[in-house]
Amino acid sequence: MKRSSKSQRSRLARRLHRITGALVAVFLLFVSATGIVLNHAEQFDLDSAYIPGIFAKSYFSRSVSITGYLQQDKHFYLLAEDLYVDTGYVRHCGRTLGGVETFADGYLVLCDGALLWLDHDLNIVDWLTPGAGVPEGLLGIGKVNDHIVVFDDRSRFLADVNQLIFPAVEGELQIGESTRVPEELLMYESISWQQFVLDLHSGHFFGGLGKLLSDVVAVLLILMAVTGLMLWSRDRKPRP
Amino acid sequence: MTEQEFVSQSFTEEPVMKSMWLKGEGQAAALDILGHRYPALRLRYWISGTKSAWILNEVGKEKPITIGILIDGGTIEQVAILAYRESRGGEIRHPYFTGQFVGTGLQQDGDLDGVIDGIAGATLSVRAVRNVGRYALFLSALADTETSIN
Repeated sequence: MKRSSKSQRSRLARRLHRITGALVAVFLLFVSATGIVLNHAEQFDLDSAYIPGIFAKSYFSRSVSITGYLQQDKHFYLLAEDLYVDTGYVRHCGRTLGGVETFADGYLVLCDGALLWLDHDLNIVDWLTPGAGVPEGLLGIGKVNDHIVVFDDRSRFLADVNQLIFPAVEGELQIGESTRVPEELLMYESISWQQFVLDLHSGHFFGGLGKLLSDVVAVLLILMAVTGLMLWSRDRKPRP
Repeated sequence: MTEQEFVSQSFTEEPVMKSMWLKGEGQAAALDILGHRYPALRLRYWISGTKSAWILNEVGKEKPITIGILIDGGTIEQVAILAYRESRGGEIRHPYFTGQFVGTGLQQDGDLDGVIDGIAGATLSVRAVRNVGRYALFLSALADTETSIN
């Protein structure tokens, strides 16, 4: 009777050990594989390569809404006071992006009351401030009769950035409307492959579910260790 | 101090505002002194007699520092921090730091001929101001050369 009970316990332990082993095997293989990749992240340049913006978007699983200005199919927008055009950093701009207009020699961007002149290849030609004759307190930029005009709450000024003169001007003002910047542009180069693999490795990528899964696997591993010890101690006992 | 205030306080007479296009020599010197091309193709300076005032931007750690440099006859007469945007290192705005540049010029090797003491915790900002001082002295000499040629 006693022997039969021991035998039953042993069978149960063996069964549990086998099942938990199978269950954690997938997890251990995954953690080991991502761990090996992380160990060699520098060799693989994973810290300087980024996952595609479209994947990064779903990675964050939250919506980001930033508005900017669209000119000649290029999105101009601010992130942390820095100006970006599409996915490229241009320079520090300030707290407000007052607008963007195109002209024969490139683009004029109104940054916190200063004018940033970019050529067609988006090289910075000049950064024009009130010290250079730009009118103070500018609020926006637009066009009057196809000429670029900057304006404050009272007046409009023709922006001749070649001659650095800003004479007052009258006429019907046309202002470009702000548009929402596509999320894949904002997410571009936001998540490195190293970060991505690390988050897979740690389970953070799966959020709350990842935590729960880690807990379950931890319990299974404990169970596996206990049943393994039980089987090991039984096998070591001399059989009558 | 605003850029206009810096310029107006730098001269006793009304200065002339000029533009300089940064091409071959100007950008090569930027590469040598600042460690990168100057992030603009054109910049302005103000000149009156032997004095010239320069307003340049240089990144300390992450954000550009706007620095005004007044040069008289090949030596620095004044350095003013016109806009400091970094979160740390703002001590460089104080006169005890900027005052060290007064009277310094360029040595043959392109370095400043005076000793500029650093500030703990503001290493990158100090380096930025020192480099801009050197670059402004170079640009001032370049402007003098261009003026004498013209």
